[in-house]
Amino acid sequence: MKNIFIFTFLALFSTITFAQKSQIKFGKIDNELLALKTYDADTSSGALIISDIGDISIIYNDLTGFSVIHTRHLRVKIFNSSEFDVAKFKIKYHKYGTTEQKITKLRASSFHLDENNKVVRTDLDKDNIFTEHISSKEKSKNFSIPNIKEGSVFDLEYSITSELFGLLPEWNFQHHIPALISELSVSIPEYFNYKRLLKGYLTPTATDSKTTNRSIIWVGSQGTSSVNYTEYNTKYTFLNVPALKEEAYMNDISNYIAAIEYELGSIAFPQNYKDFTTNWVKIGDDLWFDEDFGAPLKRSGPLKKEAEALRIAYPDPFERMVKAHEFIRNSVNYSGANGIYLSESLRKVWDEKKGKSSDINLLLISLLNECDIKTSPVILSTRSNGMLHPGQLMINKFNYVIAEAIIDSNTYLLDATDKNLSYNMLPIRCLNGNGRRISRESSENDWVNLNTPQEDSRTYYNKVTLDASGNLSGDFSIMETRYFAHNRAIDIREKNNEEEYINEFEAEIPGLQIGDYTIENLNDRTNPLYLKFKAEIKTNPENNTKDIIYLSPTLGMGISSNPFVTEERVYPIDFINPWVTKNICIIDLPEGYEVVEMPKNISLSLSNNKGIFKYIAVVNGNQLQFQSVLTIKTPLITFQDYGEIRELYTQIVSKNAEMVVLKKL
Amino acid sequence: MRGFRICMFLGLILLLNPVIIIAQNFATSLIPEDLLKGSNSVIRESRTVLTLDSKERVTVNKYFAVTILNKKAENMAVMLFSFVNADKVNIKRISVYDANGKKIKSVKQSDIIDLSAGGEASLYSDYRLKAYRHVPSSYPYTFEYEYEIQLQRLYSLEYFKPYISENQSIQYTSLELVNPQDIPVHISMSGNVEGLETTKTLTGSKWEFRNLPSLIIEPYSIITDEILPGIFLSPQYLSYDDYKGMADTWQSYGNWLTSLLKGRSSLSSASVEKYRKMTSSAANEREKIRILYKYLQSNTHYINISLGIGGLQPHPVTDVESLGYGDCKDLSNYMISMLDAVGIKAHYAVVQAGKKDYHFIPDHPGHQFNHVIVCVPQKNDTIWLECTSQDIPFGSLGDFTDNRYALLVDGPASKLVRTKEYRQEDNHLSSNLLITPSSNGANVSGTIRYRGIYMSESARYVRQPIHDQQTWINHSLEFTNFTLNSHNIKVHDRGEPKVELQLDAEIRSFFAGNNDRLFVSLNLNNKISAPERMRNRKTPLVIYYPYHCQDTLTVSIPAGFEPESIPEATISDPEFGMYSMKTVVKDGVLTCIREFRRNKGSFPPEKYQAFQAFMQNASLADSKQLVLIRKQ
Repeated sequence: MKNIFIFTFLALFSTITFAQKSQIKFGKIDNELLALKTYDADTSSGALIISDIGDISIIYNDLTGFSVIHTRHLRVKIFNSSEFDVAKFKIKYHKYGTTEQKITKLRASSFHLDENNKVVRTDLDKDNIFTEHISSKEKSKNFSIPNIKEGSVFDLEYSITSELFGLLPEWNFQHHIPALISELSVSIPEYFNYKRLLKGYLTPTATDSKTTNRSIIWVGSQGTSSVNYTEYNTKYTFLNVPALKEEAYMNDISNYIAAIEYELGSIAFPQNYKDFTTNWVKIGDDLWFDEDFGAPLKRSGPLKKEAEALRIAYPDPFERMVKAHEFIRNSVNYSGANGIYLSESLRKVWDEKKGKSSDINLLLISLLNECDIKTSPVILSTRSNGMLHPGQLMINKFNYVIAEAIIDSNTYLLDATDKNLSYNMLPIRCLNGNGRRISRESSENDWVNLNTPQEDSRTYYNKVTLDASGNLSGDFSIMETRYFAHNRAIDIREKNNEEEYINEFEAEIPGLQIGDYTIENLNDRTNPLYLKFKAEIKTNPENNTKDIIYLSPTLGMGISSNPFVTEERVYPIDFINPWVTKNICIIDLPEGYEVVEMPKNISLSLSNNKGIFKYIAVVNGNQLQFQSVLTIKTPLITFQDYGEIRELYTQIVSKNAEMVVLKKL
Repeated sequence: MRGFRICMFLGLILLLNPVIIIAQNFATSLIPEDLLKGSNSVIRESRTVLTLDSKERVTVNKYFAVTILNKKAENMAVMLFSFVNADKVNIKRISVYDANGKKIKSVKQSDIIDLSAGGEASLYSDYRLKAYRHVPSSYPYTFEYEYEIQLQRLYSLEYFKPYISENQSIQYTSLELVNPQDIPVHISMSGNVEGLETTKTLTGSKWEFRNLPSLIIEPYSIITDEILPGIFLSPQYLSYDDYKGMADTWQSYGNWLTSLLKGRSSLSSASVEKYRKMTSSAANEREKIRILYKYLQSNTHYINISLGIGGLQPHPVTDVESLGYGDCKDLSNYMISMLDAVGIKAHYAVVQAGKKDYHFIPDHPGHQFNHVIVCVPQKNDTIWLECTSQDIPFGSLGDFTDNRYALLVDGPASKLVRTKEYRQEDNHLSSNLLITPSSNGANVSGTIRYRGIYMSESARYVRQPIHDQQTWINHSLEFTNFTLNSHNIKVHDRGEPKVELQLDAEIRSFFAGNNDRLFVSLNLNNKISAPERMRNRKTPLVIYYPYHCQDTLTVSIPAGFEPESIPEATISDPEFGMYSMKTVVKDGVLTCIREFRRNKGSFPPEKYQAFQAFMQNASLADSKQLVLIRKQ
């Protein structure tokens, strides 16, 4: 009975979606919706967006001319108290120079059924709306919709008006709770040319486009005049939008939200054409003309003397590049802020020895060019800033700049913000698809792949002796390269001393007792990081002789749990880099025992050579030789292949639980 | 002209402020060797002067200079304080010195950030922040600032704690009280105040510490204010807007808080009628409280709006009732009013919530609180209610406010009491799971029960989306490779509260191995992991929460197999606890009963090794596998 009811309910809303938005009227709420107990598609969801209807229009007004009007009507059903916080709002609005956004027509009401099944409506009182002055550029209207109870529905409506044509509001079709309908209508006069970017992993259920003829009539000294123009209307509708969920091995969650963004391309009034961004040649020329980007690179920089010294000391250009990079990254401190433009002059950055990533890397470019190494800026968007879509020319989507040096026919991508990353590695934040080379010669501008094909590797190499009590002792080592090494080095450096790290490392493997240890190449990422130690694995503290010994050939260092917990996945798996982990153990077996059972050797592959797992254990005389290798060759795996990779991990976990069995003769 | 005005202003401040800072030499080489040991930062000089201008006004002057030795202490190079618009704020200097003690930067006033203190947690606050963070070009360096703030209210002064961070040593720190009118002030010392120099000045007192060694914090050591030095000053006279009072005793302090509540607790007669009707058929008083608490949880939510005295005073209950939201004061006051409507007496109880390291000073009446809960005295037991949470089970308090002092606010009858302490038997985790071999590996079904301190986390998932529940189950259980067929998380709050998770799942690799033997891990719930072995333990060992786990696992042995090795163990330590694993095989069914108790306690540093060994042995025993062999 309940199911039938929900079906009709959903059907009702599906029809509404294709009807005019005006049919969802503020405050007109069906009793069925108020009585609804759960959302069938996710019965434990605490809240559901019934409709989120947005409109962005550029409208002419006799007094003020054109302005951007963004209106929103949101209706939410609250099922239980876990999502009461969705009734809390902080609507931010901005000030740029003298232009300020304004929030108007803000109203909200909540509705619920009382004990007698009567609708109780509570309006948001003006006194309960607070204006917070967050900073000099940002304010927000803060309020919480009153009288929210389990079962409540609320309506919220507001408009944001501004003359900021360069900044149309961004609209999210997807939120942390599911939505039945999320819809945005956009109306733009022919004079305004915007680039549109639809993001995320959902496609609109429907997209309707049409045009409307509009006219402006004004009264001047010569009488009444009028002008006609065309308005382009587009409506994007998403139905039954799932909630956004975070999972293992994902890029920043903001990359996955279904959303739409606009960037102003040009404004073309009949007698007044203003182009904003049109093509990469123009963007490149503008950037090279810009005093905060390319212009200082065309002049001699603050490191003329240093460049001279480098040229003399290092005649080999590759070596010179490495040294110049080392010099900048060791001299200048990174503030943690990013951008593509200089925040200070290069001279000041050098004098103060600190700056944003753009300050540091543009200084690096300046030095390299002055050392006679041809270097261009490459602008990019960091992982937390979102993935770039190469078809889009949205300069404000870029938030970072690195250097690309060319020596002979080899190119090197360089970033000098991290003292512990050498010339061959970029910070993880930069590994986000493609960046754009902004060369002084616009013909050389092109997309540059930021992710390198080089793999990260980790090798355990353990040579140990098993005794008759089942305990192990011997030499252990971990060798890591690239980001595996970098990440461990970060962990080690975070501790107050190496001993603190060793204490924690030891606790991860039951029975491990480390004696002497060394850490090599901690801060040198051109060489592998080594962690070597002499240790015992004392799983039998009593030390008594055993008749049967069960030995895990991985020595407890293999993968023992599956990171892919959920059955299904809608987002790709992002390992960032290709990688390989090897586990090699040579184990001397005790005298007087025979091996009665060995795990079978296996080899498992992902389709299309994306990855492979091999497990080999053999007994040679009284020595057990074990090797397992997991290789991921394709770091970005689509959600369609999720089942396959989950299954691979399932099998690896099962395999690593297997034991070698030894029996006393 | 403008220059002149600034000079006048500074002159005025100098008159008000008796601190004279003698220019310091901040060269890193002048730091004593002992203070560098284990340090990431060294407080070179810190001076706090509190001037009681009158019974309604206090001026705070803070001077602070810290040497940051390396990147780990970079968050020390921050000046941050909050104020309200009525306060007079004057930032006198922010400077940076290099390793040789040479001044390399004077921060301009325009570079100091002024922003709203609201943040995400609160809906609106009239508190604002002044903030400045220095980005260094190299280490070490010294960061120095001084500011003065004049507060137009007096209800608290300062709980002065010299250490700001771990791995920090202190060269010199002082606190001074300037009290020309001799306004009565409570002064308490807390923790280890060895080396404290106290001086009587003309108009007050001054306390100084020199050369305090680096503060080291290790695992399993709640370094409390009981150990660290502290000086607590608070006024005996209270003033906030028109509310004046005394804090010479807890009774008078409670009386002042009572005056803030006055006239804010009357519900409309219709509401009183409604709550009476809701509880009219309840069998007993506990049931009435339960019904009203559940009503509160499903009809209100926590929102913090801090405006003026709103930081101390709840909004009228009728407003809170109609808006359906409020902060801890508002919601607690609403809860008490509802209980009052049905004839149950309950108390507004103020506590210091959160931090376990806060050292409450019971013989020091004053503002030592940051949260409000509700206390409902019962004949045999006391029911505590946390009114800001939608998911905490009725009758449960959780680790936010357990086992600490609370002041029951009740006019002249106000008194200090202790909140509920969670004992070993309260923190009980148990499971009863049944394993049967299936075509996919094994089927597991059964129930896991969480009580006491374990409950807070599980209770939070009762009303989360299925995806989040699944993720939690996946992370909290020791199953690997499993698929949930069905599950249900439920709170039982009629008696002693507990959360029950019922589940049915397929575990793919439960019986691992593909030859003659199967390897089975018997611990599916709450696997024991040993803490790190410390080569050089310095501070006492503190085990804060005791707990008790009991698990029963019943495994149907797959056809054609029999046990070859069965894990069994008993490890017991009179001080730390006991672990046991007992197994019985009968008619092809293996029943495994596992028990683990960990005791509460404080021990000297040298005991850490024995504790680690106990946990290590329990962990090793716990990870032993059952081995099944194919019958010949």
